[in-house]
Parts: sequence; C-alpha cells; structure tokens
Amino acid sequence: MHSLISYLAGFIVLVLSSQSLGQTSADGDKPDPLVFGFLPIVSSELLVQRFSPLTDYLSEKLGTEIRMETAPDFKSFVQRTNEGRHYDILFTAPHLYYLASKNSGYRAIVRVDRPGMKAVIVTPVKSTISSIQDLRGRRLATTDPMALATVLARARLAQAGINPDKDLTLIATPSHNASLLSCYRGTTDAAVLIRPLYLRARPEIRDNTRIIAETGSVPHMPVAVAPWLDKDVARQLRTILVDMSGNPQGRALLQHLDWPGFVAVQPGDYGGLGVIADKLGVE
Amino acid sequence: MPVSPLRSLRVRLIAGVVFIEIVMLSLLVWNNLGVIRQAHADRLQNTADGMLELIAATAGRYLVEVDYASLEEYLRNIAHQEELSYLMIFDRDEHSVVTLGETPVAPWPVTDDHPLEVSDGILDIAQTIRISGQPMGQVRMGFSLAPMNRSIDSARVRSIAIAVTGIILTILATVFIGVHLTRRLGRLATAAQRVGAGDYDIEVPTEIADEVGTTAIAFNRMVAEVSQRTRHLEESLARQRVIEETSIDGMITYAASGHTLSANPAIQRLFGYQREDLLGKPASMLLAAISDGKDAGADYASGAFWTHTIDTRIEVTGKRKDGSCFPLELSIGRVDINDEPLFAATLHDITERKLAEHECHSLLEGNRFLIHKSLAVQEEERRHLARELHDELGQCMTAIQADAELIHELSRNKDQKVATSAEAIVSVSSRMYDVVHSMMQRLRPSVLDDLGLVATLEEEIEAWQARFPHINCNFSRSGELMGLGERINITLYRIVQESLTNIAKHADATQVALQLARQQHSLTLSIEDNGCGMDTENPGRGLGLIGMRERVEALSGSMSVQSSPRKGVIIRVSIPLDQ
Repeated sequence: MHSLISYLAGFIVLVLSSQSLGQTSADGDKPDPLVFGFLPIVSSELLVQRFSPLTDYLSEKLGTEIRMETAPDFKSFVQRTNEGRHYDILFTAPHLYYLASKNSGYRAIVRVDRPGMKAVIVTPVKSTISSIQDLRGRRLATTDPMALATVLARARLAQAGINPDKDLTLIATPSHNASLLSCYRGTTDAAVLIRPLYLRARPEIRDNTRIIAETGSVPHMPVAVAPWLDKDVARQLRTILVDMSGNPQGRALLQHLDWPGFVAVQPGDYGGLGVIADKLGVE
Repeated sequence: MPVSPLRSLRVRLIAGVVFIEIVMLSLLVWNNLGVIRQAHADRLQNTADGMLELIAATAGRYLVEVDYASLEEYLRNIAHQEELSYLMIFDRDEHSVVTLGETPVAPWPVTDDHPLEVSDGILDIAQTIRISGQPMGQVRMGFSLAPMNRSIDSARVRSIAIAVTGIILTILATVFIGVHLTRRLGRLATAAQRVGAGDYDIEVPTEIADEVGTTAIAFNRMVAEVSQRTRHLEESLARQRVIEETSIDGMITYAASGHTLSANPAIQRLFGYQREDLLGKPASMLLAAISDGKDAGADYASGAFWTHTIDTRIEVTGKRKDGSCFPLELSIGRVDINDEPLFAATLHDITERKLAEHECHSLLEGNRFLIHKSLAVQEEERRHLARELHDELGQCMTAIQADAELIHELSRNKDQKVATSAEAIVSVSSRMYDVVHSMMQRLRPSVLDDLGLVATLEEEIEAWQARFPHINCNFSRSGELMGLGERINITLYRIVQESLTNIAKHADATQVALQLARQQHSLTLSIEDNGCGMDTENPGRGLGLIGMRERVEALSGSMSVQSSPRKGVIIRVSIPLDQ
C-alpha cells in the first residue's frame, strides 16, 4: 500500500514537473517564452538597446519568443543563475559562466568570435598618471566587483605588486560607462573597463582619455543554455548563432553588436577561469 | 414736481450699474469657475500624464531587470500625489507585478482622455512601458477627481463670496457716486422746475467744470437769456394788452374756421356782447349779413370773406347784440403760427365820422347855395349897376357932351377960350363915356343877354385878342349851346374872362385854345395855353382859381387844373345839365 501511494505521488510529481517544464503555458497553446538573461555589463537601457535585436532575431529564427532579462547587478544575476531555472539562455562574463556551469550546469554553446577579452585602465589625457604604478593612492573606478574587468584589473594590480584593497581605492560604479565617465569628469583618477566597451565609447571621451595599462586576456563572452533546455532547441540556437554571419539580417545584427560573429565553444575554452572565478567567493 | 422713484435718474443709474455689475460679476464668476475647473483638470491631466510618462520611461529598467521590489520602492517614492487612487505595473504577460493604492477590480476600466470627461470620479490612464523602444509591460494609474472637485467647490465659494462682496461694494460706491453726481443734477432739475414756475432769479452753482458743471453754466446762460426774453415778451404783451384794452377800436382774433378766439373790451362796448358770448362763435355775427354801404351786397357771413386779408379799411355795417346796426371800418390781418393761420380783425366805429361827414356835406351844400346866391346877387348887382351906368350916367355924359359941342360951335369964332374949354369938355366927357362903357361891359356884357353865350364869348375873345394881338386864341364849340340858362352862361363867361386875364398876365403864352362842348348831360369847357405853366400845388395867393372853382361847384360841377412848368395850363370844367 505504501509503495502504491509512493508511486502515485511520484507520478503526480512527475506529471506536474513535466507540465512546468513544458514549453507551453498552462492557459493556452502559446508556448512559454524562453528567458534570455544578460549580464548587466551596461545600464539596462543600453543593454536592451544593444541586445534586444539579437533576442528578436533569435525569436524569429527559433519560432519561439525569447525574452530578454537582466538583473540589477552582477551579484543578483549570479544569484539568479545559481538559483536555477531562471534564465533559459545566458549571456554572461567568462568567469561568471564558469561559476554558472559549475554551480547550475549551464553549457556554453557559442562565444563571440573574438580572440579574447581584456580590460584596460584609462586615465584622463591631462592626468599625471602614466603607469599602473602611479595608481597607488589614487581612486580607481571599477564596475561591479564581480565584473570581469574588476576581476582582471585586480589580477593585473596584484601582478604589478599593488594590493587593490590597500594601495588604492576601488570605487564601484553601476556600469563600465559610468566608470569611464567618472574618470573623464575627474570624479575618479582612473577607470577600468572592458576594452571593446572603451573602444565603443563616445569619441570625445576616448580622445580625452588614454590607456595606461591592459589586463590579461580571457576567452570572449559565451552564450550558454540551461541544462533543462531542450537539446534540440539548444542545437538550433547554436546553429542560428553560428550562421548569423551567413545572412544579411544576421550580418546587420552583428554589425550592430560590433562583433564578427559567433563560433562554437570548444571544450576547455573556459577551463582556465577557475583561478579568478573562485576568488569571487560565490557559491 | 416730485419725481417718481421709478423714474428717478438716481435710482435708474444705481439700478443700472448694479444690474450691470451683477451680470458682469456673474459672468466673471462663471468664467472664472470654468477657467479654474479647466485649470484644475489640466493640472491633473498634466500631473497624470507626467507621472505616466515618467513611469513608462523609467520602469522598464526594473522590468527587464525583474527587480520588482526596487520598482515598488521607486514607485512609492515618486507616487505620492494626493489624487493618485491606484497604480499598477504589469509585466509583458500582463501580470500585475506592483500595485499601489486601491486597485480596481478587473475588467480594467476604460482609459479616459481628460478629467472633464470622467464619469466615475476616477481618471483612468494607461501606457506601455518601454525601454529602448522595447515593450516591457504596462502601467495603469487612476487619479481621483475628488480633490479637484473640492478645490473647484472651494474656488466656487470663494468666487461667489468675492462677487457678492464686489456687488455690495459696487452698490455702495454706486450709491455714493450716484448721489454725488445726481445731487448736482437734482439741483439742475430743481432749478429747471423753478424756472418753469417763472422764477428766473436763480443761478445753479457750477462747482467742477465737468459735464454737469458745463451744463450748469449753459443752464445759467439759458435762464438769463430766457429771463430777458420773457421780460421783453411780457413787456411787449403788456404794451399790446394796454393797446388792446384801451383801444377804442374793437379787436378780435379768430381761426381759419372763423370762430372767435379773443376779443378786447372795445368789442364789448361796441357790440354789447360779453367776451364769453363771442369766444368760439363765428366772427361774422358782428356784421350785418348784407352791407348797405359802398360794398352793398357783399356777403360778410361767408367764411371766404373772413379768411382774406384786407390791408385797407373797408366800410361795413356792424350789428350789435340788440340787433341795431352801425357803420364800421374793418381791416383783417393774418399771421401764421405753427403753420396755422391766425386772423385779426380791427373794427373801427365810424358812426361819429359818418355824422360829421353828413353834417359837413350839409354845410357844403349850404355853402354852395350861399355862394350861388352870392354870385347871383353879385351878378344881379353888376347888371343893375351896369344898367344904371348906362341909363343914368350914360345919358348925362351924352348930354354933357352934346352941350359941350354946342358951346364949342357957338364960341369957336367968338371966344376962343370958351371954345377951347368946350372942346376939352367934349374930350373929357367922351373919355369918361368910354370908361363907363368899359365898366359896363365888365360888369355885365349886354350882349350876353341879347345874343347868348357864344356871341358873348366871341366878342370877349375878339376884344381880348385886340388887346393882346401877339397871342393867337382859337375858340371852338360843339353842340347846342343856346338856352343853357343865366347861371351857366354867366359862370362860363366869368371863367373864360378870368382865364384870359390870367393868361395875359402870367402865362407868357403864344397859343390859347378854348373848347366848349355840350354832351347829353353835361357841358364841358377846356382852356389850354402853351405858356410857362404853374405850380398846381401852390397856385399863389390870387383868388382867381378859387373863384372859378366856387362858381363851378355852385353849379354842382367840377373843375380841374393840370399844369407843369413850361408845359402850359389846362383848365377843364364840367357842369351837369340835369340840375
């Protein structure tokens, strides 16, 4: 009897679970949209402005609505990633993907077809800071402490013999652009941000700032899928993303993103990020 | 005369201003309330729209970040408007993610376009939340109109209170100003009433030189002018009244219809009527219907007679109240007053004059008779004297002359002195005879009795021509001139005799024409010369023409003298033969 009840309960749980995991909503034939979580590397407005065409493109090509979401900050994003079942698709920093893969089973399908990602430390052109050693005692604007640029900058500072927690003051800003603006306006003495973002900054800001140091390079940002996402869908997604550069619409979108395209992730691409990812202390 | 309150300028002015003020303030309040209502509605609309825009523009970030807690905190920070009734944020699946206030029950109310079009007391608005153009959800808000309506009600109460206060103040100000202004007008009105009552000893104070002051100045000037003119008119009327009252002539005025309008006291004296008996009665009742005077047969009772002006007096017959008649002279004048003719008749009693004329005529007749008698006596005396001279003195002279001639013949050869004396006596006696004979001819031409008028005149003219041969005298006659009678013959003879004497003495004429003609009922004599003429207005002190005229008029005849300087004299005599 107990075994029968256990089977029945197990069956009910299985049915409910299958319904909740299904791709259709409970109140209609319309399938539930897929949630595409984007790491808040810039402000939400800029994030939507930049990536909403990508989600629209994927929705159109996949035939399933894909909704763009983000989080108020890196920490929330990582927490939501770790909590599981929040983002069906993930676009995050390489070191945070390492954590998501490690903690929630996300699996990278493609990455931006760029050699690697590095951060730059910039100062105003008129600043007396000319090298990384000149940053001692100064104010360095970084974005979220969990951001890739921050992590890479801390590693570069440590490599230069500078204790980022003692020898200078790290000032957290809401975004990379905010860090650059604080430096440009003199609120801080220097700023750290991902190099591509710096190159896409407004010309007058770039013209009045200069790079004094660069960090080490890591593989570019990946697009990962949750472990619960249907494998066919994941495969279609990978195909769509990799083939983007092969059609005019995709090329226009890649031009908008300022990326050459996506390539399939090779095993071990992000395996070396455990050193810096584990230092974040995120479980 | 007191002014009715409803017709009082002061009351009408105050009532008019108050009415206008009430209307204007009512319109102002009505308009203000409309403006306030519109302003409140617009403010609420702007507030709602602004908040809606703000949330729609900013909430997208929280939706895309799925940070509903921060979104609610954010909304609570910005959504503190009093009017806000509810606020709801829906995600892309239209699931309510944040709710504030008293949310309505689904189905959601239809959104409103403007607060003034709201019917349920809640302004419902909604808008899609977007971020970078991408729809992230929807915001729904509801704003209660109660605070706005309370503000409008409060504004209405305040506006009405202000309007009522304004009306009260306006009434007070209008009363004050109206009394102040109309007091001066009242003075003018009072003064005008006094002037209307005949009191011209009044002067309105001008005070301020405004419109009323200017009117007062003009009024004073007008009163002075009216006073002067009235005084002149009264004086004129008084003079006219004195003339009418004291006139011995009757005066009446009457309308075109002939009905008497006024009559002076003389009318009453003349006709015996009282004034009341005449007023409104036909003026023709004062005259006998048919005159027996010069205009005998004229119908004075006809209206046409009385409506024609008579510039010269005509004699008519008046008829007194007792029916007796008396002679009158009547004249009628006309004046147009307000385009209506007014006639005035003057009736002058000529009874006394008629009596005097009758007496004068009698005296004239007597005088003529006396002149006639005197001339007859004179002629008779002349004839007698001529006869005595002829019979007595002529015989004596003849005897003396005969004796003297005898003595002359007897003594011519004996005593020359006697003969000479006798011859002188003959000469003197002969000359005396001639003188006596001439005297006899002038006293009484004997041929007049023997041969008649024509022969006498011819003899007289011949003798006159003999004395004045340089004057050509032509005598012509026509008609039967015999048997005219002693009176006519001697008169014509004397006229011719006197005329020829005057021509010889004064005329310096060269031609004289005498014409004697007999018509059926008259005898005419014309004596015309071409001499120096005479001034007929001032004929001189001689009695010749006067005597000639008296002789003619004694025969009921007429004589005229026509003359002018250097154009001679024409004397025409006409004697009726019927008498």
